[in-house]
Amino acid sequence: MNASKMSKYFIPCLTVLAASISQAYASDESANVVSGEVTPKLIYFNYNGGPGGGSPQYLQAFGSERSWTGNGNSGLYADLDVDLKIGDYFSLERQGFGRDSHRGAIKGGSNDIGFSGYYGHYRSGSSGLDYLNRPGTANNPVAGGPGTADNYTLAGNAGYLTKFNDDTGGQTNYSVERTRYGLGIKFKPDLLGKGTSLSFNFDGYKRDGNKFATYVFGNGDITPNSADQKQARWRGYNMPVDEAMGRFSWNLTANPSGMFQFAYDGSIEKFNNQARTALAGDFKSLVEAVGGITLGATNDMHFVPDSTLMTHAFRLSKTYDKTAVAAGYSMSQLKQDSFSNDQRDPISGYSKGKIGTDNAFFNVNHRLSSSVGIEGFIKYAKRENNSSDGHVSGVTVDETILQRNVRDKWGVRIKDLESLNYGLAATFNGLPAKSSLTVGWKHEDKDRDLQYNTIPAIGNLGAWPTVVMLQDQSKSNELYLRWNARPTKDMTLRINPSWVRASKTGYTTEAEDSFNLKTSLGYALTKQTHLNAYYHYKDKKNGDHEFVNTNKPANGAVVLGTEYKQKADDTFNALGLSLNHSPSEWLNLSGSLDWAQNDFETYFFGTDVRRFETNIVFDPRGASSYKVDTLSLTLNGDYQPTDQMKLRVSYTWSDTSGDLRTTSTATAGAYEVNDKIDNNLHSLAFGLDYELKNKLTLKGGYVYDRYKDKAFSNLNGGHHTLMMGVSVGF
Amino acid sequence: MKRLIGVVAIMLGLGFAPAWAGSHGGQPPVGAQCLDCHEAEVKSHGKHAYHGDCVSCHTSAVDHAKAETAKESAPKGSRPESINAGLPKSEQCLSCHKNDAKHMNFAFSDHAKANVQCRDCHGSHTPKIKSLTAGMQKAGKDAALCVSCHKDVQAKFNLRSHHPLREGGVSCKDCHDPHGGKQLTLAGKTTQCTQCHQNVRGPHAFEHAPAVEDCATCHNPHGTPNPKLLNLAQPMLCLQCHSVPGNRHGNTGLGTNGQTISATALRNCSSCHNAPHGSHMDQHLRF
Repeated sequence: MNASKMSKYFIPCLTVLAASISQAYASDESANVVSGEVTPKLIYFNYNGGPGGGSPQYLQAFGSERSWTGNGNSGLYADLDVDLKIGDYFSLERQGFGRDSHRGAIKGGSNDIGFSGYYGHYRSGSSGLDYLNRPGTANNPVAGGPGTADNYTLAGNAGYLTKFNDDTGGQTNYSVERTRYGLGIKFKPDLLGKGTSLSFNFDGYKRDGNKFATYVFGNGDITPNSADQKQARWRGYNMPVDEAMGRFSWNLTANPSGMFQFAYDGSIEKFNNQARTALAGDFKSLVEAVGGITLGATNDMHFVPDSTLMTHAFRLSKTYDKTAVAAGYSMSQLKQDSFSNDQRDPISGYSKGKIGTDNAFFNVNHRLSSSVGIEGFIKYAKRENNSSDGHVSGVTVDETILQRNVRDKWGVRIKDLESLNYGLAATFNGLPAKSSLTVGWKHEDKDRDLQYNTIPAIGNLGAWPTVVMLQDQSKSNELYLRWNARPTKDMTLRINPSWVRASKTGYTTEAEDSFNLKTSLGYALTKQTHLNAYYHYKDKKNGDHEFVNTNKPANGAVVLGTEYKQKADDTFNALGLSLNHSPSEWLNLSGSLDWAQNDFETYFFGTDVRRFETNIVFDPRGASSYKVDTLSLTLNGDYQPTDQMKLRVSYTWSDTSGDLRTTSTATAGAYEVNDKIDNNLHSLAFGLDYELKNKLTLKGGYVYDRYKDKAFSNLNGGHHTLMMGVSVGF
Repeated sequence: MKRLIGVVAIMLGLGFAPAWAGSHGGQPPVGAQCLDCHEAEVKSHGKHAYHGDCVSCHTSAVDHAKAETAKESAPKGSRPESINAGLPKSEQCLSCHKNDAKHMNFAFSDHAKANVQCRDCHGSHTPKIKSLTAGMQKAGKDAALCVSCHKDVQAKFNLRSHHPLREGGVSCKDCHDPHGGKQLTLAGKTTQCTQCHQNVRGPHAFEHAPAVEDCATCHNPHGTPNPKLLNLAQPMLCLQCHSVPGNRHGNTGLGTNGQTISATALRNCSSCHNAPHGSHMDQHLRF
């Protein structure tokens, strides 16, 4: 059901509901006050720039409009805003921003029963910013000519990325519509007894559209293995999207005899992928134009399974005079309902997709005195992958390894994942500068049950611990401070530093050492002028992972057993300042300026054979860095020059610039710039409300967005939106 | 579905309306004397004004009223002291609202730990956000309320890649429970994201370990300078954990060893490994 159809049925239903409530309240004058406004409006939009002149891919990724006739470049659309209230017991709201961006909500009830409903519809471009700008594609030609990547045209090399093959048939328009909806009813304590409530909800969504998907065939997939065939490996196609999700959930909350608060939440959710999955056979003729294809014709590309998720959660809380306690436990089961052709093949041995989780927490806080409070918590989580392990028919292998045919097998897999967090904190109130200070400590312990493929009997194609940087344990401690102060009546100050030190990390992305600082300041300069500022800093380092050579190459340059550490250093800075000035009740001005910087550095390594093969040699080939600055400015003004007129204006500018660099040796300081990030976005919005007469208001709005990307000029483009409407109040 | 929605809506309307009609008799507020000065607050749509018991929230209201009365009868030239009626603390709100499943653990929530009171977000008499700026029209009032404090997060929604908050595609509450917190969650780290992104949750025959553990390993949901909400640009993001096999990903073609990575050629690892969240048939996560 698309949004326009849904709203066609939804709104009349809501109107009937509203009318019935209104009738019921007819005898109660105080409850029968109907108020609201209806705003029919006309919206004109126009896109410029991008491929074809009317398809700015970046801007459309954040809202892709269409006209009444379906034109996606420019056109008109009629829409309607509704805001209706009946007394204090019923409200209905719909906001429309065009054919592909609108939402509505309904809410009502009494002290006994409440109900609610909502829907929302949003369409966005889904081609991805890469599609038209991938190196080597026709839109981004390089030295080797359109469709090739320059560095792959050198003699002796015809790698996977030599040439991109477009199987879309010229399709450039990719978008996905998402329509979400829900209904809920709640039976309140006044009806069921003190402290007891029962609610039922249904939430769902529908996703429709298409997106661009890529895939790459391997050496064994295309034969013979000549340079020509290699050029047929990298391909992309138009992938349909048609998904639906429905979740029915319920909640029971009770306060048995006033002893404690209890809540039980349950849900059952069904996810269905209704789109036909593309098969390798769909592209077989295209690939075979240059060579044979060995991949099975029925092999699914980007298969998305249907699944069912069931959850149950229980929570308890109790508040004593000086102590509060909260505890909870939940479990979930995710089950795969449909299987790909490949998985259905008996040889794969994959017939069960099942993941279970358990979560629990216990929190307690106690007020030792009016100025000192203490708190403790413990939290446990477990994820268990109970899916099929798989097997290869006729081959004796480790039964814990999933294998597709004989070629593809699981490299490393997390069978179980367990985490335990606990911590203590003390809060001191009534300190100088009207401040409070919290001193806390947290510990995190993660344990992974990792499985590796070690099957030398059928070719050394497994991944071993020595060549994978994933480790089975993470252990860290965090110390943090939270200082909140109100040194003067007009000032608030927050300073929150924290330190993390890990003795073990599972991933390089985890912090082995980290310092994090968050600060914010709020200050009322005058009664009309308020200032807010923040500064965030985070420095995260990890040197806890290394590669170990298992071979000594012929040239003897690398020593057997040599360890190379993978070091990652990530620094983040953010600074912001905002000012709000309201010189009168008719004028409100605000502005903010924000700066953020990401600065990251890591090594990369070369190997003499594929990473999952035996007798491997790692050699650090260089460092890579990524440093990007973002600056954004936002200005807002609301002005009411007369009783009849209200004006609004907003302007946002954001600019992102930086580069990615690599070196060719481990120690060289001369970085080569490999990629640039350099783009900016301007967004200007005007709004006008003019009261023609009592309860009749003219509304207008204009928005202009302009995106400019200096690295990828094909993304440049603009978007105009003009809206005119008349609001009728009642 | 269309019919179901219609039938349910009509049943709700016809079935429950009479029951509600009987439960509200237009009871006068207990704090009626407050209305002499504070009529505007009660006329608003705020439900709490109709609870009528001003004193239960404004704990110093009686003293405030006495002081104001004294001021009226005070001799000229004297300056009787004013007393603030007092604003409710969270504990007062929760004395009634703790029965709600959403609020029962508020004492341990992230907001409570940061000394945020109910009144900081909830307007008892009128909504906290009365109008929206021109740039936040699509985002809505809920989001405008959140970013009025979380300025740093608002700035992230101005970054090149962001969840469509300003554009009206999502709201803060779609992901965040303002009454909850990290210590109270009963869901895994990926569960929050896969409540909307079910298409990547699997189960996958071939999983990608970091995607199994925590979406935030690679993504920042608010916004980043990189496409697809990635924390770092590719290939740096991937290179942190993945070495580069020379005979597959190098760029010189000069043998199997000693090849350097070319970020130009490998700008996007996901150009080929297009199933980074997991695959059903390929251990290399290509499709």
